Amino acid sequence: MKKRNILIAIAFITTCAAVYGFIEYNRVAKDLIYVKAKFTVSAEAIMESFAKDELKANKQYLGRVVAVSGNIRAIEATDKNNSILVLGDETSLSSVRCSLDSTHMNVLQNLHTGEKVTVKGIITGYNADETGLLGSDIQMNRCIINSKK
Amino acid sequence: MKKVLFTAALFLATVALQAQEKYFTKSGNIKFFSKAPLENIEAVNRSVTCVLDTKTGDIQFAVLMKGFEFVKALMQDHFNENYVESDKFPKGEFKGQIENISSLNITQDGAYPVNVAGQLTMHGITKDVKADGKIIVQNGKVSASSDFAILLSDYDIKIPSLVENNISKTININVNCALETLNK
Repeated sequence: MKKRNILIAIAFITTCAAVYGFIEYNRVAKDLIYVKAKFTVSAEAIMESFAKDELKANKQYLGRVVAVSGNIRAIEATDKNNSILVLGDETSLSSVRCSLDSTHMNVLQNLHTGEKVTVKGIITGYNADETGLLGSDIQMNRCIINSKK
Repeated sequence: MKKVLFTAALFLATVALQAQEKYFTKSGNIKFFSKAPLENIEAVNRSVTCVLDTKTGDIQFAVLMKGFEFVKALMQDHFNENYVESDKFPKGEFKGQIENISSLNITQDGAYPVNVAGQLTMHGITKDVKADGKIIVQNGKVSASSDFAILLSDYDIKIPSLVENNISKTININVNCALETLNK
């Protein structure tokens, strides 16, 4: 009886491990609609943090889900699966570039340049401008529109 | 009066020509692909910065490693944490030159084969790289593309021994950037 219980326990644990492994192996990136932002910040403030101390800002933001609010400076549709919302001030070259989640492209229909939005996405890093011609950018991907305001 | 107009026209023409020497994008594509017995590894980054100077032939690319998107999240986690260590080395860069830039005529439509040589930096290591590419001019629009392969060991990217036979030691990289004129 005892032996049987042990066998059942082993079988149960093995099954659990296999199921967990299978799910983990096939896991896809989560839709950020269902993920809470770790930080909420304005485009200006986060740009300043990165410009001031990239290393420190990377430690805080890199790879994290962040909600960034700002004015839409441009909407760049690069191909049918990819659109980038550029948040930032007209007068500055620097910006926060938000690559939209390809499953949420329909939000583009209701977005216009100049509008204020809050975008939730993952901070993928800071591209400091070395040429002096392009402006430095914070990049985000898998972005969704959190709210229009 | 005519002379003034001519000088003004010449000046404007020169400015216009100068303005068209530099091209750039911030939304270029880099894909990488590696075929392996167990499964293929594939990822794409759609936020590549590229600057091309058609006069000097200087060409630069910058890419943020965390911006590579995989279908499988676990693969993406492993890529960032174990392979390229993107917390420590967030950026990849290429700085180089198109060696045969003189063969490129930016005012004429066509596909121009180019040879690029320069330094590729990633995972904190810089190596000389040579690659063949193509500059395409179509209706005044310029795009740059290239396919090349790198060895993971060149960049000190270690493959855990457990999966050594399941991961290819070379990675094929495809670069594709539609460029715009850069107005200073």
